[in-house]
Amino acid sequence: MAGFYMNRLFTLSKQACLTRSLRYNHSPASGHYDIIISGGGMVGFAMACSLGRNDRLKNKRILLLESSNYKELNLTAYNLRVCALNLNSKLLLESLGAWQHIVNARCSPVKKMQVWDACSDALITFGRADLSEEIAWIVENNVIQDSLMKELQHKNQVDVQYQSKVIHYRLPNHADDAVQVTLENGSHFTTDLIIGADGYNSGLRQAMKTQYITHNYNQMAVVATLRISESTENVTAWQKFLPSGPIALLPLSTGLSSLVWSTDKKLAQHLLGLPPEIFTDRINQAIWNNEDINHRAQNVTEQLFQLLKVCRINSREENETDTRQLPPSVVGIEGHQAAFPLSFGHSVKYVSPKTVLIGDAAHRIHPLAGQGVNLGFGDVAALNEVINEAIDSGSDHGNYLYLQKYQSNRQLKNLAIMAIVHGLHLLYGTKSLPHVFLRSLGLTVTDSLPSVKRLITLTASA
Amino acid sequence: MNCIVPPSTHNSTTVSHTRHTYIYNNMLAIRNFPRNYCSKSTLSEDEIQKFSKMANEWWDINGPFNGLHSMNQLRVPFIRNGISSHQKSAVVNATPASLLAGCSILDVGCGGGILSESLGRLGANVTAIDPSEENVAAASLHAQKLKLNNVTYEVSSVENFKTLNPTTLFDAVTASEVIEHVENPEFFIQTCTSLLKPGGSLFITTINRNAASWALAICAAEYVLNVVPKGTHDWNKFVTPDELNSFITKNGCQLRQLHGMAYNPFINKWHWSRCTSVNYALHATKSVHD
Ligand SMILES: Cc1cc2nc3c(=O)[nH]c(=O)nc-3n(C[C@H](O)[C@H](O)[C@H](O)COP(=O)(O)OP(=O)(O)OC[C@H]3O[C@@H](n4cnc5c(N)ncnc54)[C@H](O)[C@@H]3O)c2cc1C
Repeated sequence: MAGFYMNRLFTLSKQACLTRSLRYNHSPASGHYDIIISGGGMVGFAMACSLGRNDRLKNKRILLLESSNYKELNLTAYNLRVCALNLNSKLLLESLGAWQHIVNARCSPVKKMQVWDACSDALITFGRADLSEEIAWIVENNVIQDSLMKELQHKNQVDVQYQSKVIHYRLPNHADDAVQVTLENGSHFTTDLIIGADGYNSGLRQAMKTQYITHNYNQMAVVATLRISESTENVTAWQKFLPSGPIALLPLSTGLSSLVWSTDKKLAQHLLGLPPEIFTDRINQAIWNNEDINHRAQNVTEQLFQLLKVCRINSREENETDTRQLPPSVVGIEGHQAAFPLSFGHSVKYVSPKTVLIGDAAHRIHPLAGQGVNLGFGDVAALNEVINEAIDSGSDHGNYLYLQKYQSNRQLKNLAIMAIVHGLHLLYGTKSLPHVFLRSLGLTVTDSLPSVKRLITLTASA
Repeated sequence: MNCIVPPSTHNSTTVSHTRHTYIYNNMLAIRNFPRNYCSKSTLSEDEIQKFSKMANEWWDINGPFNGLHSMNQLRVPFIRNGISSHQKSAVVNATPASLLAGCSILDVGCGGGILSESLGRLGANVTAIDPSEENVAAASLHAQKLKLNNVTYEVSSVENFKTLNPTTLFDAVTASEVIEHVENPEFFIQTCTSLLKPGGSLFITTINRNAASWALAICAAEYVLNVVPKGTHDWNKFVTPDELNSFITKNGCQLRQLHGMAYNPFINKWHWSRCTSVNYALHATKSVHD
């Protein structure tokens, strides 16, 4: 951390005094920035990098405010929070120069995904049969975050301040007034554009007074780093839909996978309290047991398969690999299991004058499709693009007409994906026959329609 | 400014007042206004208050001039691309942050400066003129507030400007939503082109004179939607693309681009259209051998 600070202090000679006090959070400061990003999670840092690399913003001053402390990357143990990045997220991180740092630290490619249903025989696979193509990348959240921080060190126009919690936003009534931002330590800034990357509890979203649609799944995601016995290369992501929610194993390295098990709160609490051996047994049971199988449903699914074949919509030209493979068995866990609450949320507005939301601040999604941060990175790319368009048209970088364009572009994409994921969740949360039938249908039809499959793997990407 | 401004919930009396003052009817009546509002000292406190209220109106993107703000999304790239593709030498200093750096532009009939500021933000040195003292005062106050110092406003008609600055020449002259208010459009074009350097660009956006524009501009806007006061537009003053083309040709200019523009008032969005029957944009360049 010291290195990071020192580096930045030297490059910012003009504001050295101001910067020093801000960085160490000693005394309140004030000033004007062209752009302020509130929240330095993965999405906020990606935004800062993206703006910092933007030639059109060379003479602008940008500030990123993060409430927590700077954390040095520690690679001894695997982080419990991981993301499955899609191709577009990888391309974004490459364009930001961060991907190289991720590769230098660690990440694990996924060449195949197998998704199946506990209550029927329905199955989808993604990826090439010969495993010749990487379709996603499992990266720990802190590795992503660190790669972006490293890149940001070279961006002189971006100031980063940790331990800087925003407690109040004053949004302008008139286009010519600035946004006012007050920090917990008494600092006070103004800006022409405030970007909210402050996560699902976004304070900026609350200041916008926009409607926020939420749904509590009454579920938690139980996560852990698993030791697995896999005789072959560990390059498949596994996901099984149980009546209580999906359980996923994401490859981390030859012998390790990351567990994301979404389940109801009671079971999650129970799982959290289990000693490692019993917890391991429960995971294996969940993955291997077929006791939930509903024979009537299976029958219906098979018939449907036949029907689709007859109708020739069950085209497999996208891949020939839809043969069921057996998942690895879990032999133990590294460290402890943990749990995170899950919910669905969507902000009706992403923008107001001089104000814009990105990432989880704008939308929160069930992790079953592993799209959360991918949507956030999509926001970053889209916002950067409309800022460019605004500047090239001689408008202010925060021009509302262009922010509105960002909003409509992103809502179109995000809502489509959120609807699919939310729908899948509703479909999977039950054992009752019509639903099981429907979800078998869902899986089967999805598998038959290359475009829908592509949507699930990549879209979110756009 | 033409009438294709969507129905607005905003205080319509002020709107019409502002629009009236913007109208170019008295363009040729040269009055002795203070010449340069960047030397702010000539304004009293009361006047400043009045003009900043007007500036607020001009610069409220949801306000009465939202159609003009929105038009920037079309006309600024039109001007920028026109200059960078036909006058590379005018933008030798361009950077990604200021694509028109070094280019000198005269914005005729600048109103509150909605177009002038955008051109200034692209790095051009903009001289913006308007015969209305109020408009120029409002525009200058706004540019001062934004510390935009490469845009200079003057109270003047283009003819007056030419008389007072007989040797000044510009890389580009823009007259957006102006010619439809001018008494003698042919003379207006002659004056505008006389202010161009050889090879320089003239950009005009305006409204056509035909059945469609009559229906839309006069009937719909003035009588049905009541968005502009009756009589704001004199349909007979509207200029057709053919007439405009003949004026520019007579003045040694060559037509480069002619595009129709269409406006959707419900979403406040302009887009390019093949049809030039209502609104259109024109780019011409002056012959290099003068
Ligand atoms: C169990 C689980 C598994 C997931 N798996 C995946 C996956 O496989 N793939 C995927 O794409 N996504 C996944 N997600 C979602 C993903 O983690 C989120 O979408 C992502 O973290 C959102 O990033 P963000 O930067 O928008 O928000 P956050 O990560 O929430 O960051 C917000 C930041 O803002 C800061 N902040 C908050 N308030 C303030 C304030 N007032 N002042 C200053 N700073 C503030 C916080 O300290 C924080 O650093 C998963 C989520 C969960 C819960």
